[in-house]
Amino acid sequence: MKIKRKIPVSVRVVKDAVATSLTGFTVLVIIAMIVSILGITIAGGWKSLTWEFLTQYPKDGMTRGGIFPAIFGTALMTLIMTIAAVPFGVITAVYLAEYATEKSVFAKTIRFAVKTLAVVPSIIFGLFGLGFFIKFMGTNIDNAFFGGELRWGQPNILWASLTMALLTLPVVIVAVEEAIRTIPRDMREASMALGATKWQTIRNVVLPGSMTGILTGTILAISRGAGEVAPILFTGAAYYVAELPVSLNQQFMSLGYHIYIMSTQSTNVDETLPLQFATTLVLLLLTFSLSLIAVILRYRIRKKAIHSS
Amino acid sequence: MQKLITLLGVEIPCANDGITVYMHESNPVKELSLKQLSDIYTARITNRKEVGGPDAKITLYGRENSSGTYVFFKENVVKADYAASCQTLPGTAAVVNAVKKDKFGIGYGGAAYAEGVKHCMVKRDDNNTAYHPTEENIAKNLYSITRYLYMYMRNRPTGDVKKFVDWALSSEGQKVVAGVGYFPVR
Amino acid sequence: MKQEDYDTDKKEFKSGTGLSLSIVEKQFRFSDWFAEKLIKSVSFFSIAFVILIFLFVFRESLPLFKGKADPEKTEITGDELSHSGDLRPEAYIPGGEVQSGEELSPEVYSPYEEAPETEVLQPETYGDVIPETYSAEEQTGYFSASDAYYVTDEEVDDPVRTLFSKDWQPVSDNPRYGLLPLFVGTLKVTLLAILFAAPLAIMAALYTAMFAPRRMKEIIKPVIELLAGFPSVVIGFFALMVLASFFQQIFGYASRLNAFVGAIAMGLAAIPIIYTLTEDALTAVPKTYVEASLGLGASIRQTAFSVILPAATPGIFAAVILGLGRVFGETMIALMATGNAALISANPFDSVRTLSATIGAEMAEVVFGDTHYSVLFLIGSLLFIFTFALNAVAEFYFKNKVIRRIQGK
Repeated sequence: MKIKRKIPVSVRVVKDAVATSLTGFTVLVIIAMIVSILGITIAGGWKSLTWEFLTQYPKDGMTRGGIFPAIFGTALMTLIMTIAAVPFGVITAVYLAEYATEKSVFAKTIRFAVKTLAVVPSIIFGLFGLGFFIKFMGTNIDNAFFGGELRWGQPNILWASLTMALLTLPVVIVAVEEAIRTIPRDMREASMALGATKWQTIRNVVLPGSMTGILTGTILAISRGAGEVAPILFTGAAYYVAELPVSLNQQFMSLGYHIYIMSTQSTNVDETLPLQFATTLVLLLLTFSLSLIAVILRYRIRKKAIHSS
Repeated sequence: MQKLITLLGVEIPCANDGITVYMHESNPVKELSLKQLSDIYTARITNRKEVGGPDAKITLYGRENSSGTYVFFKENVVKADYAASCQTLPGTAAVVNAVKKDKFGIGYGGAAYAEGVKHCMVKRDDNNTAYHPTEENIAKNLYSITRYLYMYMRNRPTGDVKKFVDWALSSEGQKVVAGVGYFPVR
Repeated sequence: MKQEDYDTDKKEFKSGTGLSLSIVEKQFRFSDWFAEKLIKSVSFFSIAFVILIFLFVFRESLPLFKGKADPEKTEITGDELSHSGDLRPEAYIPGGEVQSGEELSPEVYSPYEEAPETEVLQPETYGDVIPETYSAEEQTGYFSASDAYYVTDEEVDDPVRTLFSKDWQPVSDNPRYGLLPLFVGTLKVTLLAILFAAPLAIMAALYTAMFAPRRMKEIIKPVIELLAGFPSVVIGFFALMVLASFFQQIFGYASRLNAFVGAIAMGLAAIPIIYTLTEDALTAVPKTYVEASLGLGASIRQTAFSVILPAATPGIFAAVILGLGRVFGETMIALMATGNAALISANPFDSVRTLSATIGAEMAEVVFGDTHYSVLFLIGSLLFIFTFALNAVAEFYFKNKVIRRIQGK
C-alpha cells in the first residue's frame, strides 16, 4: 500500500492511457496491413476482373485472356479433396468427442498427430505426395494393372487432391469436434432414455446436430486448400493445360499456382500485372468469402451452445 | 539432365534464342566480353567500375538451378560455378522484373522476355566487336550466346503431328516464332 | 471450465448407457461394437499419416546414407524419365519410353534436309551448338592456371561429406550440397519474422483480451483471424510486387529481394497464429485472478501486465513457437520474396535462401534418384523433424506449465 500511495493517481491514469493506446495501436497496425493488401489488390485488379476474364482461357502465351481453367482446376481439386478429407475428419472428430476418454493414450496420440499435421510445413506434404502417391502408389498401380505403362505414376489431379486432403484434415477435425462438443447433453440423454444405443445416438442425434459444424469444417478446409500452392507444386499443378481435366490422371491449372507462375515466369511482367492482380483478387475473394461464411457459422454455433447450456 | 534429353526420341530445333544480358536502362555500360561476364557471375568483378561504369556494386540475378538457362549460361559463358551472391529467381520474368527495378543489377535470360530493360552488347573477346542480340546478328553467328529451342517427340513425326511440325518449321510458323520474341531457325 | 463440465457429462452419459433398456441393447450390440471399432480404426489414420509422411520423405533421402550407389541410380528407367518429363511443364518430354539403347543421340527431323542450314540444325545436345559460334575460346579457354580455384578440381566423391560445407552448388561439375547457408538463411528470416510478428500479435491480443470494449472485440478478432485466410502465395505476390519496392525506397538497400522483405511477409502469415493462440492463453487465465487484482485496487493495465501476462507466459511462448514453426516451413513467400541467394551473412538486407524454398525451387526439375534429389528429400526430413519437435515442445512442455500455473502449483 505504501508503494502505491507514492505514485500519484494522475501518473497511473497516464500510464493506463498509454498502455491502452499502445496496444490498441498495434491492432490498428495489423488491420491497416490487412486493409492495404486488400486495397492494393483490388485497385490493381478490379479493372481486369471482367466476365470474360473469368470464363476464357489464357491467350497469347498467357499475356491476355482469362483464367477459366485455373478456376475450374481449383474447384475440381478442392471437390476431390473434400470428398477425401471430410469423412476422415468427421469420423476422427466423432471418436475424439464421443468415444475417447480423457485418460486414453490412444486419443492423446491422435490429438498430437492432428496437431502435428496442422503444423507440418506445406512443402513437406508436397514431398510426401511425390514420394508416396506418385512414386509408391502410382508406380505400383501402373505395374499391377497397366503393365508398367505410365498412367498413375505421374503428377495428376487425384494425387494433388489427396495430398491437399491430408493437409486440410486437421482443419476439418478441429471444427467438427468443436461442434460436436456443443451438442447439449439433454439431447443425448433423451435419446438414450428412449432406448437408443450409443451409435444410434451419434447417428441420429449428434451428427445431425453438428451439421453446421461439419459444414464449417468443410468450408474452412476448402478455403485453405484453394489457396495452398506448395503441396501441388510437384504433385499435379500445370503451367498451362489446353483442355480441362476430364480424367483423374490429368494435370490441372490452379489459381494459386497461376499467380506464382504469372508473377515469375510470364513473358512481360508489367503488361500482365493487372491480370496477376485480378487473379489474386479472385483467389482472395474466394478464400475470403469462404472463411467469412465459416466465421459466421462458427459464431452461430458458439452462440447456440451458450444459449442451450 | 542433358544425358537424359539425348536419350530421348526425336529432337527438332524449332527456334533460335539469344540469351540476353539484361541491365537497367540507366546503366551506362554498353558492352561486355564473355570473360567479363564470367568474371561478374563468379564475383571476381564486383564493381561496375571495372567494366567501365560508375563506382557501384553489381547485383547479380540469375535463374534457379532447375532451369535450362541456368545450365546453358553456366556451361557456355560462366564456365564455373556461379557466385553464391547471385540471386536465383524462379523465372526469367522475375529476373527481368528484378533488373528493371535495380539500377545496379545484371541478369540473363531469353531475349523474348526483355521488356523494359536494356540489352547489353556482348563480344567474344576484347579483339572482337560487340553485337546486339538481333535477328541479323544471330543468323550470322555474330552474337555469341545463342541456343536452339527444341521440340521433342517419341518417334519421327507422322500424320497430324508431322503437319504441325512442318508448319512450325515453315516460314509461316517461323513468323510466329519471331512474333513472340525468338529467332527463326532458317 | 467447459472441459470439466463436459467430463461430468460424459460420466453420466456412460452410466446412462449402462442403465438403458437391456433388451434393446442386446439387439444392437453388434452394430454398436462394429461402429466403435470402425471409428477407432479410422481415427488411427491420423497417426498413421504422420508416420507415413516422415517415412516416405525420409525414404527418398536414404540413398545418401548408403554411400556409393550413384552409378546405379543414374541409370534411367522409363518410369523415372517420364516423371522428370511431366514435372517440367516448360520442356515437356512426352511418353515414357526410352529408345533402344544403341541409339543415344536423337534423330534430327527436318523437312529441309537439303538446305544448307541442316548442318546447324543437327545439335546432339544444345551445348554442342555453341562451339561453332565461339570455338576459339573453347580451346584456349579464358581460365588461366591461376583461375583453377574456380574450376575446383578436388573431386568430392562422397556427397554426404559436402553437406557440411559452405557452398550450395548442386548443379555443378563438382556438386556441393552444403546446408550451412540454407540453415543460416532460414534462421535469419525466421528470427526477423518473429521479431516483427510476435510483439505486434501479442500486444494486439492483450488489447483484445483486456482493454477492448466487448463490441469492438467481436469485430477485431474475426478481422485479424481473416489474415489467416490469406493464402501464402498471395502474401508472397504482394511482397514481390509491392513490399519489396516500398521498403527499397525507404531503406535504399542494394538488393530488392532480401531477408527483410521476406521476413515481413512471413510475419504477416505468422501474426494470426500468434494472435489467436495468445488471446486464448490470456482468456484462459482464471477470472478469479482478474477479480482479485482489480479488487485490490489495481487498474486494468496493472492487472494485464502484472497478473494476466505473467500467468499466461507459457501459453504465449507456445503461441510464438507455433508461429515460428509456420515461418520456418513457409515456402511460397520465401521463394518469391527473399531472392534465394545461398549466402552466409548477418546483414538483414542480404538475400537469403531458405530450406523450404530450396525444395520448392529445385525439386520440380531434378533428376529422380540423383544425389541432388536425395539431398532435397533430406532437407524435407530435417524440416519435418524440426517442426515436429517445435510442436512437441509447445504441446507438452508449455501446455503443462500453463496447467500447473493455473492450478496454482
